[in-house]
Amino acid sequence: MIEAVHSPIEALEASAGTGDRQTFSLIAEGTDWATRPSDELARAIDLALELELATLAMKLAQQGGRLFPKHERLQQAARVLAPPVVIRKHPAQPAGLRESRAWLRAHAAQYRGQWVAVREGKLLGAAESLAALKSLAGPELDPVSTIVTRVL
Amino acid sequence: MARFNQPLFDSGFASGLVYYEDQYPGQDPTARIVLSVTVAGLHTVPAIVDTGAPWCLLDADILAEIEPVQADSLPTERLSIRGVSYQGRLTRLIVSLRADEGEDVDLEATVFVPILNPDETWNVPNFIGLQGLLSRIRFAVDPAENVFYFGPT
Repeated sequence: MIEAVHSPIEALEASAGTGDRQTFSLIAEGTDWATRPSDELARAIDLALELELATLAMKLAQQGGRLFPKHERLQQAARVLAPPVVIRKHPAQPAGLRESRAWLRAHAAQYRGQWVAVREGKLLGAAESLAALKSLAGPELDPVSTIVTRVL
Repeated sequence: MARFNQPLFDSGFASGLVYYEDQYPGQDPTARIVLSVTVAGLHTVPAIVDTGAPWCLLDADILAEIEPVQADSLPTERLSIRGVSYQGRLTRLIVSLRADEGEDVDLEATVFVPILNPDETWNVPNFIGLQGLLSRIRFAVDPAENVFYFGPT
């Protein structure tokens, strides 16, 4: 019996097509991507994302970034799918966010479907769209101390 | 003052805490952990801690204001978020976890930017995902006091 020989990317496409995440992961992790065309690795990352295999996608993206420094999409993927980075920590500002969250808990249901802005526990405004809300609240819409949200 | 503030801060496990809400604005009360985060320094929004979500997921209208089409944006054909398929792209943004006591933490995080059709309305809560953000912080939850402790790893 002669078995069809699939390239790694064909096997990945096949397992992605059937939603077989385990097989997909095994193939992707077992492939020596240094020996494969860069576009195949880029495709494998896309497929991993579609399958919600975030950790694998991040791992493949970092490999791609190292192996193919001139491949634009792989470099992009390596940057975007890099592990999160702590930039800094700084003393919390007394912005009254706790009071605003409490206001939302108590009153948000009255504003379903609208955008609201709440600062220090007080409603600054409600509107049908974010743009309208910004016009309404004007400069009071301080980004640090005002919670802005669409009420679902 | 939160009960475990002192030991968690003194040990270096956490440097900030927030008194979280159980419900997302407008939604029925559920067992959620809703914090406040500031996105790119431009908007402070509620966001649900979700260790089952890979990326941060933020309101399409908020992101449309914040996120220009930038080089560090990875177009994806479709992305499945908690079993629902969305059109969009992944990008990097600064997301600040806002503390009620202690310290805020700013992180460069991976965020999903949904692309909506003109007739579509976004009605999904904001989420803070695991691989895109939470994997770089230590956190602990005290449900008795609704306190979320956090600090950078």
